[in-house]
Amino acid sequence: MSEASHALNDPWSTLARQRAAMSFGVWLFLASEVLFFGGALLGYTIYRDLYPDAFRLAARETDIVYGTLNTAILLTSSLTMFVAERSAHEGFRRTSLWCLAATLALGSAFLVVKGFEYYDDIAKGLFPGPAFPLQPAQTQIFWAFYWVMTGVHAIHLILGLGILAAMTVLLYRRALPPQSPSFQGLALYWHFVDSVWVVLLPLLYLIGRA
Amino acid sequence: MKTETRAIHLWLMPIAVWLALLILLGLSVGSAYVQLGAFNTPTNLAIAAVKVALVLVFFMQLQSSSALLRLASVAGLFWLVLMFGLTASDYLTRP
Repeated sequence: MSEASHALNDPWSTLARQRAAMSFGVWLFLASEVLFFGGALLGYTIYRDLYPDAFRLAARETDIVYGTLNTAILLTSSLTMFVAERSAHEGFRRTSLWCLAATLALGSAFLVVKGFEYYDDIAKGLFPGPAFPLQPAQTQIFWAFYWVMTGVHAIHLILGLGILAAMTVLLYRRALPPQSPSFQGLALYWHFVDSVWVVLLPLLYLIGRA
Repeated sequence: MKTETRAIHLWLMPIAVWLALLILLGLSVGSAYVQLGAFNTPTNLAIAAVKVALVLVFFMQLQSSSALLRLASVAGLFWLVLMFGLTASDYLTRP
């Protein structure tokens, strides 16, 4: 029994069918995720339209260095995730393991940077509440969106990291063959979480700078 | 049997895409500091859209995917457009 056939699960008769089902299922899930983030994006859009000046003023207080650095980190993690999935697909187990480890490191680095950023934000008192340092009061609406959107994104990233770590261990222990379509599902999810951040960057960090 | 060293060919396309993404990131952050008036936000959103498109087409492999997957990939965006469109038809048309 070859490694590739070991990757085949019920109820599929061929690995190609299992792969197609995996991609389709994950894409459908991602469509629901688009609408999940879409709700917050829509709320942001409406409030920004209502209070454009407060949003510009509030957004100036986000840390563009951390934000830009984290975008570069996530884009790079998508590169390593892509190569990890492609090399797994071709049966290059060792390359795939190294790339998965690099993706794990980059994803963790994102969270570390985000942690420093949150620490600074809280030190500056930028959490909506009675002692909020900015005026007018609508600047708090921007910061509420900041915390919700980046927080929900971070939760997605943490979930992705958990699945990524588990699959890396399984691949390392040879409990999961590299040909398993699960790597494709993981990669799709990872790239989606990266895309969400790409959209958040201009909305949360790049407004009110000029 | 392919050897593992041949894995180098897997890197060429994604590195090109990655470089393009980093250049766009630089453009995006740089342009945010240029005085473009009302055009700062549209510029940045357009750059973000190009970046997302690059990720979708190359990293998420839509360029080699079946029609079914391509349709599934735009399903979420389709409903998102409806949601934004219908909401905007209220909020943006209030006197």
